[in-house]
Amino acid sequence: MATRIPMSFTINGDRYEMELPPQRTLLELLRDELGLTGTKESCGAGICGACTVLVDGQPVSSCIKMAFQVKGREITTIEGLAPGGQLDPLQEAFVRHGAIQCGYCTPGMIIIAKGLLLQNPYPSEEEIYEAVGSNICRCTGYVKIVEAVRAVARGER
Amino acid sequence: MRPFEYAEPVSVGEVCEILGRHGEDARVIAGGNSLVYFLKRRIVSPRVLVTLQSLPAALGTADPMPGGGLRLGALMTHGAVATHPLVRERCPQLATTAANIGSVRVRNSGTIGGSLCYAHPAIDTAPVLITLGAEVVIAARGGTRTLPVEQFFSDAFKSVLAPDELLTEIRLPGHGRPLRGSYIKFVGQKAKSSMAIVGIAVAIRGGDGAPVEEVHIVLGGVSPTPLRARRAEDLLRGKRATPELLRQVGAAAAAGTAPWDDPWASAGYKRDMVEVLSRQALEGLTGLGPGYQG
Repeated sequence: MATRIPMSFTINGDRYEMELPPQRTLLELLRDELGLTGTKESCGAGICGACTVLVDGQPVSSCIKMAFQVKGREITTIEGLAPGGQLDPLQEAFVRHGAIQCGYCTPGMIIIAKGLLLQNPYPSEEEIYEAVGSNICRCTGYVKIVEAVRAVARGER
Repeated sequence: MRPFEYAEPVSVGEVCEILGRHGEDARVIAGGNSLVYFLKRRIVSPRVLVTLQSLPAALGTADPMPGGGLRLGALMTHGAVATHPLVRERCPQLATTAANIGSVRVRNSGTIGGSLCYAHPAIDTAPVLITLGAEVVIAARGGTRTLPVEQFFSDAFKSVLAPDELLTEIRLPGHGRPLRGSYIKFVGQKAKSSMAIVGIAVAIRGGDGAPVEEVHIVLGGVSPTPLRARRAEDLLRGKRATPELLRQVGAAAAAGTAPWDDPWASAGYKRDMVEVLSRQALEGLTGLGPGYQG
């Protein structure tokens, strides 16, 4: 039984070649192997969206994705949105609109919104609600989160 | 998660060979939406995990078939089914159904074949596929077989797949004159991304000012496997739809169900919703009402 298998990934623009046990989830790879702790775990079942990352630009739940499933793919985490500390417009908008309370859902919210805007730069109100509404925030009512995403979609600075 | 041996076959034949060799000790993983959670919670602990990610690309594409039919590779994600131009053109109710499965995260990972094999009683796609007369193509070591989707499920969370078999393809037949259909996913007070409380798929031929020549009504969430409402279909077939007849058809659909209480809805409520929603769906298709308005 192979205890480790070779895998390669591009994560936030950097190429990684590693040997990992096949039991590693993508979330464990990011947090435990690479120290990218911006991605959170909450429900562990793919429902809440705290662990959302982009795989080839598309949002997925990293807690229910095996690392081997994304071999050769391009993964973007919240850390990858701010290379060199320069915040992404979405991150700036979340700050400006106060779209954060406890902050635990925030990385997942920003990533799922990023995925939406990559697919659909001019989403309707309903499309914004549908995207961020599938991630769970238990502090607030989503209003400021939606305002922040809408502001970016409209190109407001 | 318990350790497992990893296999990454590159052909369907190789998958079936590995599955045949290991029997019940092996599991396949497609999108992993359901399986990875079960692995983490040790609800399932296979000795061998067979990933389908390196199979030929055709397993993830949709292609036209002669006579207006369509073949869907079992590894198409729900998102791909929802947006594929051929699916939207030839089978719009299936595209819409796929677009409303789970969240965007679920649709980006989950596959139509994986979802069928998971066999959740409230699966959205299966009732729609059954109303359209779809078949599944199943590969095994000795060759392939095809089976109506209606015969694919054996119990809640169980399909008729033998240990060495792999679902590779879904086939939608062409129709001389297309069936007009719709799917109502009723989630009640649950989040939109939840599984349905009840799901109602209907498809008819005729019925637009003329008698209903052909009718298919298939229900999700009210029996262990998707349920064909045969008595309701028999009431309507060959007749001109009237408000009173559709009320009777809705009542007959509800009478044939065997729902259970769960934390979101009682059995009686589910039965009532089947009655109302199947009537509304048919009113929408026969021009007697606006259909389900959400």
